[in-house]
Amino acid sequence: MRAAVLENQIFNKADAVLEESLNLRMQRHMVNLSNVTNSMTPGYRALGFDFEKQLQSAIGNSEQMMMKTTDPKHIRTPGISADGVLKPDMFVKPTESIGSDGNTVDVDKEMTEMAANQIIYRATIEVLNRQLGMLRYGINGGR
Amino acid sequence: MAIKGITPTSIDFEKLTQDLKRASAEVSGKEDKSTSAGKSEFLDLLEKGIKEVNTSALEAEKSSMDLASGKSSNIHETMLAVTKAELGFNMMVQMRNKVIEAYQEVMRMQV
Amino acid sequence: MALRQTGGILEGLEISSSGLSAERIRMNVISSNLANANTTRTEEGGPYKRKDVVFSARSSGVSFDNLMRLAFDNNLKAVNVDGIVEDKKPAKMVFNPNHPDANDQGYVAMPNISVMEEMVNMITANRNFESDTQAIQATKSMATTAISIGRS
Repeated sequence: MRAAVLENQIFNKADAVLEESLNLRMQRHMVNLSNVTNSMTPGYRALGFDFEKQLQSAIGNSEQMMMKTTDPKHIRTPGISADGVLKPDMFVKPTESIGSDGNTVDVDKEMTEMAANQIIYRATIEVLNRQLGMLRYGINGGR
Repeated sequence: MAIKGITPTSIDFEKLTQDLKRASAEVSGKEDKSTSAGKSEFLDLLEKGIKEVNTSALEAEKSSMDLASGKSSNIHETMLAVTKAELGFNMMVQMRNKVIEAYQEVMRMQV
Repeated sequence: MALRQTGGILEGLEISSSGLSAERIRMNVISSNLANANTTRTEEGGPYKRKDVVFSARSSGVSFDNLMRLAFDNNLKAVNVDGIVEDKKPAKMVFNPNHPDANDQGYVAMPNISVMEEMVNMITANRNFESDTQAIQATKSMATTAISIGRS
């Protein structure tokens, strides 16, 4: 998240959260894609991408989300690194069953994740559009 | 007298309330010193309306953030909250326009 | 303001399309196997040998600015078809003395192909192809929606 966004009076914390969530969801989409494409590649381990917990704890923080490194009242929040940047988690998905060729991808699971991710991505954009629309309405004075 | 509560890019609800109170007082010729004495009904409604819009805006924000962060997957709840806030805000802007119009018209009247 | 993410739509499409190509090649190999399930004579002599594809994962190739590649990008893998190899299993010997290619004992060397196995593989390849296609649709949909941000 960019400090510039928070210093700007027009766009507030909620907008920064929405914007960042779009970036994160895009990255998750890429990970799912990679898994699906390699569903038959020998030795390929399915990857996962988690960011929800980190994003939620960033929201729950009532202070500014972007913490300046010089701030003496620096608060430790899980999922946020020292310079205040959100750290999503890319990991190898744990799996009970491994295919005979070492591949751990569950295609159906990946497609489901992808579908859910896409739905929320589009919903977030819709909400963002509404916020921007309100701003535009205000700027036009309601005309 | 300018109504400073609404600029092209933001709404300061506190200031807006005060400005509208002052405008209304000027027009009616009455001094509105305290919150309990001499308060017109119109002002009451206005204040309540502004507070409601503020609340619904905050709720919409919270609901949006919950949806985006995966805390809630209740899309229709967020959409409703956002739409309510949007409509409330639009109505607020229209009301401001009307108040300014009324004020200007009254000021134009020859006494 | 520098771009934080160098991957994105184009890289995603490249990864998916590599999957499509790979599955298509696999389908061709399977078709060849099925068509030649009973071929006892080939140019190299002897029965047709079953073929298989070898896949491996490779780093996806699209990058807008190499300096800004995050470690993240290096973990995303496209699919590479390393090659088509011959199955090393020996040929099946089937007793059929009337066959023109029967040897002195009356056995014919048949290709080591199981039609069932090839059919299963074909269904799998098809399913993967479908999944990759759906993934492309999803990517396109997200991109299209993103383009509409801020449109009044």
